[in-house]
Amino acid sequence: MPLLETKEVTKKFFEFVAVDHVDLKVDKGELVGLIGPNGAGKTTLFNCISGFYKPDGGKITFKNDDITALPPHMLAKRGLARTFQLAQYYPTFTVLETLMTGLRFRGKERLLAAFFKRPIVMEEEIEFRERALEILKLVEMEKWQDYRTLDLSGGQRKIVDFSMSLILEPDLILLDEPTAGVDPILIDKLLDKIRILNKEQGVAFIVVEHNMKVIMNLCERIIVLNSGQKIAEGTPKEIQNNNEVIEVYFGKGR
Amino acid sequence: MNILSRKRIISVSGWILYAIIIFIAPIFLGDYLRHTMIMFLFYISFVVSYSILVGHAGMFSLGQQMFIGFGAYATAFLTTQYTNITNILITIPMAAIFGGFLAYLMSFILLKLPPRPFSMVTLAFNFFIRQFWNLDPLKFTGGALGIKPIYPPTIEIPGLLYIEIGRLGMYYQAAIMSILMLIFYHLLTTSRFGVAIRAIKENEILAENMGINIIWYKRRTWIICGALAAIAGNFYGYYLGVITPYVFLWYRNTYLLTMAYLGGITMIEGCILGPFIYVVLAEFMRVTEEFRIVIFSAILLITILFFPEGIGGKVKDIYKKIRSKGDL
Repeated sequence: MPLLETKEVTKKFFEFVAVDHVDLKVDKGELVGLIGPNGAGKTTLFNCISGFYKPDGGKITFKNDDITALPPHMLAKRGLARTFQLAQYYPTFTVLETLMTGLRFRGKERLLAAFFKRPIVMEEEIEFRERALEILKLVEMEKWQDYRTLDLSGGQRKIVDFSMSLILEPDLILLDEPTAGVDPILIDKLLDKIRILNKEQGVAFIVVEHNMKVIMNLCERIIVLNSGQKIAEGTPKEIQNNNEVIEVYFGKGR
Repeated sequence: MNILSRKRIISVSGWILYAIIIFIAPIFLGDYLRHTMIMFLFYISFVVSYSILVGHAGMFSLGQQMFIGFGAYATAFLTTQYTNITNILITIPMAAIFGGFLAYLMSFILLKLPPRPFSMVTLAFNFFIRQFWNLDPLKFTGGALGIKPIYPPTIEIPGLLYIEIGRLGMYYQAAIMSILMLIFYHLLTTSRFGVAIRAIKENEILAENMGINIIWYKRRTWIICGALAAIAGNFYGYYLGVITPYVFLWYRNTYLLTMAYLGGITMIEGCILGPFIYVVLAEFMRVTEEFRIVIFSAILLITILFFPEGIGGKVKDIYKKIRSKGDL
């Protein structure tokens, strides 16, 4: 049984069809790449899966549950995390606080409980703090823990964004261009982390990426989108030799 | 983490001192200054609700004044027209429920809106409510003449207690209300609820992605703030003794805005500092009644341009700078 399955997912913006009947399957512990030229609908597909857009047609299942119309916060609690193309951050929160905020809201919302749980006096907070520090150590950001995210560089924010998707202990992470704006040394480290998480903890990934070297090295299976349609699927080698993909990326007559 | 750290002792003793000053002040004050103090305490209670709504949750409402009206009218309905209940143990919860219920109804339209339309629609609600109360198509608001008199408040527990709150008693009613509001503010903003609404203010997309149900939190914040303002409105109604649709005048929101931003909209100290500065300035400008709005607009402009964190925030900044220099 696949972990995530999309069946004929379609998203239209007025007349423009951004995602056109896309079928996609991701098994537990898989590393899937999603590539395509600009405007191919990669991020739109991500937004449909993670609940930020409501698809106009089709069905999305995650762990055997229909998640087609669920809002993002419920998906986060079910174990589906994502990062953003442009790193999202809480400007005035420190890095540590940002991560801890991710841990604080995993349960069901209850007004009185939320009201009497005061961060300074709780034991649970100490546990969260340790967990957050653990994640920060994993991505080698622990010396930045007391900095405001506003004061970090773009690449560092990207890393914080990545670590935030880890903190929810998800089964599937959607990474939207994780290496954009990150320096080459850090890219290698980041990819190592992704591989380790994938191998040791069985976390599945879908990675959108424009850096072909990265995607060919990292992924076991690659899906190619163009104008909202899936045009190819296969191992990196198959994709590299696929005529249609070459045509899409480099134009005809080569 | 340390409960008895030096910083904590200073802040707690500061608050106790503040409470003592508030409680012994009326002994030294004449009638007129006592009235000013009561208005000051009332404004604190009001600003608390606005500070949570705007400063912490980032829901920039321009219609908070209407909840004062709802609270005051709920009290007026109870004390005069139907049941002649003046017991604050009943009227305060009823005012809160009335304000909270109307806030709940409004939330169905408001919460789907992005920030700027949100502000405009709250303002539109304020206009609508004022006109509705003025024209009184359903014959329950008393029209432009309003409802009078609202009898002075009492505290009653059948068979146990009966206290009539007099003129001096109302000072203490306002004082206790303002202190309870400040305690509530502290509890809310330091709780997980406070963390959630701040996270939503900072970045809605990320908050939602990290499992915070933004509609759930926003709706509760909006209702809680409506209910808090209605509780303040309950006192306002009692204190004036008469209530007319004037209470819904939209530009009173700008006074509120000035107060909240002057003091520092994200700080508990700001909830006291803002009303204090406002009341002092208003006293000095009593001579130029018409000119007052102009001056307040200018003050608001200067505050937002030069002290975006409010005067309280500026003071904190300067204090921090002095402290760090002392350490070096």
